[in-house]
Amino acid sequence: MFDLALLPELSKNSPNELLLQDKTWSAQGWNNYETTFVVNDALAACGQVELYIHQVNKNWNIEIDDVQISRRSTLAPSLTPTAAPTEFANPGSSSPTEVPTAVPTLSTVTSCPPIEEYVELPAGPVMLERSSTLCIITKADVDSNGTKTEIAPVARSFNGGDWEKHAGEFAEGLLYGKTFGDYTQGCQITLPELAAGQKYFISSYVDSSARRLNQADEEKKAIARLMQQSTFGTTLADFEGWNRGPVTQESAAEWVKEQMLLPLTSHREYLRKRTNPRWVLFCTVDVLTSVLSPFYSTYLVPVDL
Amino acid sequence: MRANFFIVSALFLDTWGGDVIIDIVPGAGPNGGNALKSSAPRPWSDQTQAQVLNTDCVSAGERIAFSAKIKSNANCLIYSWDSTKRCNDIILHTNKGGVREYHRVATITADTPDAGGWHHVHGIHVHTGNGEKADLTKIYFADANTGWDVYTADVKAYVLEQNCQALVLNSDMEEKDLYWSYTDRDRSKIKVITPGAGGDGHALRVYARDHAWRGFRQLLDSRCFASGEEFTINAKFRLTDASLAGVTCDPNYQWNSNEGTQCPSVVVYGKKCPGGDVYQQFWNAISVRTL
Repeated sequence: MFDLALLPELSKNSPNELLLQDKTWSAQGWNNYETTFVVNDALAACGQVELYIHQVNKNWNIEIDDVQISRRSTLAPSLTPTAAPTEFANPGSSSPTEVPTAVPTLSTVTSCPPIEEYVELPAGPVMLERSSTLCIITKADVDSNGTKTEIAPVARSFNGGDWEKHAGEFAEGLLYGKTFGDYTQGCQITLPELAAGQKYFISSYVDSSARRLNQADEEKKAIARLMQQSTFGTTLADFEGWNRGPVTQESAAEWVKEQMLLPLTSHREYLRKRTNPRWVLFCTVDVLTSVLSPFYSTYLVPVDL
Repeated sequence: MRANFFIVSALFLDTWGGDVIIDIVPGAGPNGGNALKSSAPRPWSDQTQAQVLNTDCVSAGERIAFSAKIKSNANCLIYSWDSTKRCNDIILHTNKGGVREYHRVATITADTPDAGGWHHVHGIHVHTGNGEKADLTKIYFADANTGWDVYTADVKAYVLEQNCQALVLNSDMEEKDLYWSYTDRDRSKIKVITPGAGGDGHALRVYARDHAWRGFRQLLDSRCFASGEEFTINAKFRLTDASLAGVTCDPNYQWNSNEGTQCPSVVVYGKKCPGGDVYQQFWNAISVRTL
């Protein structure tokens, strides 16, 4: 519980006022910085660790003094250990049942901005939150008026999925050799430096298919998908002849069953008539089926030849 | 405490490559002492004075600090990569069973030489497995214009002792820019300024930055970062504009924007990690409005 009586200044200022006054930046003097952190497994496994002080407005100078990183805790035991354990601490305990997830490596997670809002993303490491909407990082050439041209997609996330390289030559070339590190809080990648005048932007988009299709169109899309997957090539007549309502497991099964009961037609014959008119018959079905595999003897009929 | 294992002496002078003329020049050093000179024309930009080191006492993973004073008979460009204009860096070469390594172990950080025209070239190197007990370990001063003489003095190489209680070396800048470096070469400049935060001493300023990414860096002792250890980071920061007037940032704007109002943060950047780089950025805990 926060005890206001412990802070005498609060009698003169409201709590918010006091804290805001304490925590503003002084443009004229030196400003104290302090934070603590706990080393995680990912950092502990690194062969080289460096201190960086950067990520400040490029038009400003950074001045530093009295920079120190001090260990607060020690992992060494504070008491002399006994020679051997005398009893099990908790015989009933069992091993962890789940493999722990990887620890995020960036403390700041970048979320996708609202739709149609373009937010500039600096080059360098970035931890990106998985996006439920379609979220895309793009590269754009930005002129002095702020006009964006030569926009090319770089990476994307949608439906809450992991971030991935966007399809396309530009993204492949730019992110060649780079992979997204997947962590609980997001996906991390180091965005490479761009040429002068080029910038990264992150923005949300409405999925185009979701925006265009209503319920009826979604049903037509399902019918088309079924016919595309189960025939050698559907026709508009087949498509428009569907009269079973929405595609379900049952309606699809009925349609397949019906198709199998129709008179046999030869796809091979259809193809030969149109693609190889100079083909000369040099053998018969009997000859072929006698020397070739059971497939031919089972499935070839005279009209196929 | 520093363990010096390398002391410049005429007995141990050597060259990198042949056809390099080196001389000891009495009185030409930074404090009237001796300086070592390799005379122009030098056959190749990396052919300068050199010395073989015995690093048998150094294990892989240990850190070696390199430091030297250097100048030439022309004004070199400190941050440039242009081989006709740039200043010398220190290169460490090792050869172990035919496996050769070349590490740029020391560079110039601050933008101005001292009154005598001497630049301070320095850096920290983590000794590699291939460098451990190598058949040959040698340092030389590489990459300056072949038409310039190269003077060196006060050359040191020493093992840095592990101190996990205070990870940042020269934290108060009283040794000026020693152990500090820039994030990216030729993308910003660093100046030693006076007074520092306490009203005396020194501080460092990075300026002429072409991107928010540009700033300071220092190699830390990775052996101190054991999982579960808790560390405190302290620092003093000031922001100025191009005219050196103070500017105000917003402690609540915690977004890395190239031209945003975010305040300085500190990054602990792990490299050579099994799962890729580990970049952990920490905003100021005492300047965030928590209510």
